Amino acid sequence: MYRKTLSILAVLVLALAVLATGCQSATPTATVAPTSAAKTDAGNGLMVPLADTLTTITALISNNEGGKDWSKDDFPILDAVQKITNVKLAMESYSSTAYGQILSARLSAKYNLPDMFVCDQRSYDFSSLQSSGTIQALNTLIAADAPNLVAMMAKDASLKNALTTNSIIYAFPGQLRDQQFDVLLNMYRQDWVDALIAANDLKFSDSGSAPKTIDDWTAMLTAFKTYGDVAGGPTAYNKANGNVDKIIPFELWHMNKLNGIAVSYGLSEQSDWFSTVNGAVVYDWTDQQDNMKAFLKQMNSWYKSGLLDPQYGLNLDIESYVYDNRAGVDCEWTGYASYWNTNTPNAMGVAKGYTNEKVPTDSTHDTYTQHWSLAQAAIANKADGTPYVAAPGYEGYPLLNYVRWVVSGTAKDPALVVKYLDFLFGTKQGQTLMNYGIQGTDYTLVDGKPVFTDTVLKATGGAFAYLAAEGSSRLPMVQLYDQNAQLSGWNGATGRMATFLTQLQTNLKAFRVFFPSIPYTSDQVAQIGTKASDINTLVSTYLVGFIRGTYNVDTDYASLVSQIKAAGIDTVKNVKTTQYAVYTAG
Amino acid sequence: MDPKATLLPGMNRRGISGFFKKQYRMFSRNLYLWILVLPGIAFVAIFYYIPMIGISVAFTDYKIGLGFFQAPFVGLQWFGQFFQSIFFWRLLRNTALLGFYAVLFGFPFPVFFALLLNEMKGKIFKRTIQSVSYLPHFISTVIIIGMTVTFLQPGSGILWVIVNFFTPTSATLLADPKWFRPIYIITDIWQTFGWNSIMFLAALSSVDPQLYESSRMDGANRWQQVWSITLPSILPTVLTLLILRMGSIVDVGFEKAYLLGNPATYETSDVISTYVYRTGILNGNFSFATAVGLFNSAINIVFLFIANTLSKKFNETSLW
Repeated sequence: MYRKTLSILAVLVLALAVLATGCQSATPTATVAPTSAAKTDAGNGLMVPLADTLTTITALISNNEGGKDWSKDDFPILDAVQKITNVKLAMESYSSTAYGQILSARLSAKYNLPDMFVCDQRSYDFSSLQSSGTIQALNTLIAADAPNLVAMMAKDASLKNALTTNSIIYAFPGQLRDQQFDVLLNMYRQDWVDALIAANDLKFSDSGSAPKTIDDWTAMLTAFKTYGDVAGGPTAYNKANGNVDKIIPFELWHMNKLNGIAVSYGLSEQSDWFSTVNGAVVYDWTDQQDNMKAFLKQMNSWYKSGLLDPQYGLNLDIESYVYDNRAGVDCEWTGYASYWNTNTPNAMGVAKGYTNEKVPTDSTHDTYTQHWSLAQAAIANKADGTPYVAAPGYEGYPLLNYVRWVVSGTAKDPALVVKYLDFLFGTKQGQTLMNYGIQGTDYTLVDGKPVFTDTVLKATGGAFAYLAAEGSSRLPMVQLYDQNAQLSGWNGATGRMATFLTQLQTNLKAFRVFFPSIPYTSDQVAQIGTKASDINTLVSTYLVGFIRGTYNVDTDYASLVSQIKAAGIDTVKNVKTTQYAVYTAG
Repeated sequence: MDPKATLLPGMNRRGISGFFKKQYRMFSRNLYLWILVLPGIAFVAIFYYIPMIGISVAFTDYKIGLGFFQAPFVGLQWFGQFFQSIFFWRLLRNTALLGFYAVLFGFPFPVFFALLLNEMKGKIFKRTIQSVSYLPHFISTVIIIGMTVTFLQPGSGILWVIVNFFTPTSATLLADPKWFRPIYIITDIWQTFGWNSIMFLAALSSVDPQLYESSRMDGANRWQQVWSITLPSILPTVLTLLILRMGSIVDVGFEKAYLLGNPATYETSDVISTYVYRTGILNGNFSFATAVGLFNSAINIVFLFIANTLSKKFNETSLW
């Protein structure tokens, strides 16, 4: 009897132990291993170590596509951060496609939330989340525990404005660039152009080697089309292409790829056609009708002549045309040109199954630009000869992107979370770690400046992927120009690339950002409802139709404008105007 | 007044206790049958009935973090917003037409296929054809669309070449709104006709062979046998499946319309489910998305009732 009672007790204790284990949080917030270290100032009074004992902060994060799983606990950069801050970051990660659903489900249920999580601010109504206690308002916390961010906001009002909605800061910035260097623009095959000019098959308006006006672009695309189709043609351009396939003069797998031409007409395709003209918010389709019509007619003319991708509008991923030597022009981010020029024949070309013979590696043009050159924004002239835009520049994201780090309402120690984010984002130590990795392995100091080692620059899979695997890129960081310049190969660039980069910085006077991304208030969300989405549906249909020729600009445009107005463009524009006023406030 | 009229079915004069006793006796007598059916009941309850609580979202201003029952009640606001949308009639037309064409052309096809297969003599050939016809059913919609896009590639796609032979065109068929519905329906039939014919083949196998024997003795040819014996024999099965199919006539598959459609073809390809995804889910308008989804289901139920009533009236075959 006694033995039986003992057995029952033992089973009960075991069951309770199993239950207790099962009830523990999946990602525990724990304090362990006391350490004692003298505190030092990491910047603006942020004292490190941030915690007296090793403390864990939990985070929910999305993985880089094809990159390392962030839930793996082996990131050298984060280990180095841990040594300085005494804070361990325990991350739970999911693929970028699953992440949004998982985060939304947890936020809805207010269940199993980590201390902090990353999100795209455009997808969430922060004010509603904060009023329900799901996330924290950060004003007080930032004022007390993020001195570096406070200093940065004091220096740049637009940073504070972009983070603030109705006087409340709901989230910490994700990534900020210290200066503008990555813009969306057109790139073209310089080697083809050079060969065509040498064979007298192409001549630009200024007799130079780069297209300057829309007419130059027409001539260049026409030459690509004409001589690309001639088997065994006379030019080196044909030889470079191997006369295998027909050329797609302007590759357009995505609808936004026409952005590089739209800017010449003062239009902003990438910002859902919202622009600012003389400080006022305008909707291109209704407020800049002359410019829009001219752009559409030009594009339709190119399409009819076979100069644009015949599959425009289908959103089929045919970027392989670039690797396969079939595309003459593409619209991409600045960094892509050097990326393609250095990686296409070797890494990417081989990875895609192409042989080096098919993608020639040598270049006689200059030491850097093997194939692709970045293009200046073209000048588009009206019938009277005056340009649509006096000095067309470039477009890119605002210095602060739309990624935000949010502190959940259930965070165990919100002040510590904010201090940790401030260390990564605002201190010199944090910025150096996030940008350059580990000293000695990833970079060395030359004249006091970090210079990447070959371990990074010649890493298999590319330097950006290497640094991401070290623990950079997804966490809050200020991306430094010098880091990007080194990784993109701009440092020491010669020839056309160097000239272009100089011009790019000069032309930043004409640069404009995509419409700033500012969280909507609940009231604004209610006002916009489905209007913005309906309008986007409408104009995307007409855009493709006008360019492909199923709609006629002269006869169908007025009908489109009346439909856009009926769909509620005035309401959407009012909300955008209010947002822009907040963003630009001093 | 008959006192029995106030009693529930199964009740007798002994009242409530007698009723429960009788139910209990029935339950314990069929205990193993209940255990057998329990997983099915649990599945339906958990995955079909409990989630219906979420329908309440259609009548509230739901926001992530508020929960189902804390969101403020807004009545029919989201339904009104959908009915006033500039795309309402287009979405309704596209959804209804795709569903209607799928039934009109897609439903008879497996019946004909089953009849043809039933008339075949060679067993090996018959089974090979049957297996090959099932295969597309096991290919995911994404792959089907990928194949369709490749087949319709201008200049090189095999279907493009065939179409171009009869109607010379340099256009991309996938970007032409006129071609969306034919492409959708044809690929739908190709993917489903083999699998959908299984039920009809099963019904055909249950037809009494003596009927055919008698008809042959009376001098009936193959065509007369099909018309007078086979078709009437499988008609109840056909009608039952047709009624069930009508219950989802506007339940146009999201993946296919989404993957096959593009801005150039929205005029014909944008259906309620793709609109809900684009406008509701992607933009976080969950209440709006739920309201539109509920509206879609309501239309399906109306069609189900109409089909069932017509079938009951003319053929005495119905679901209830």
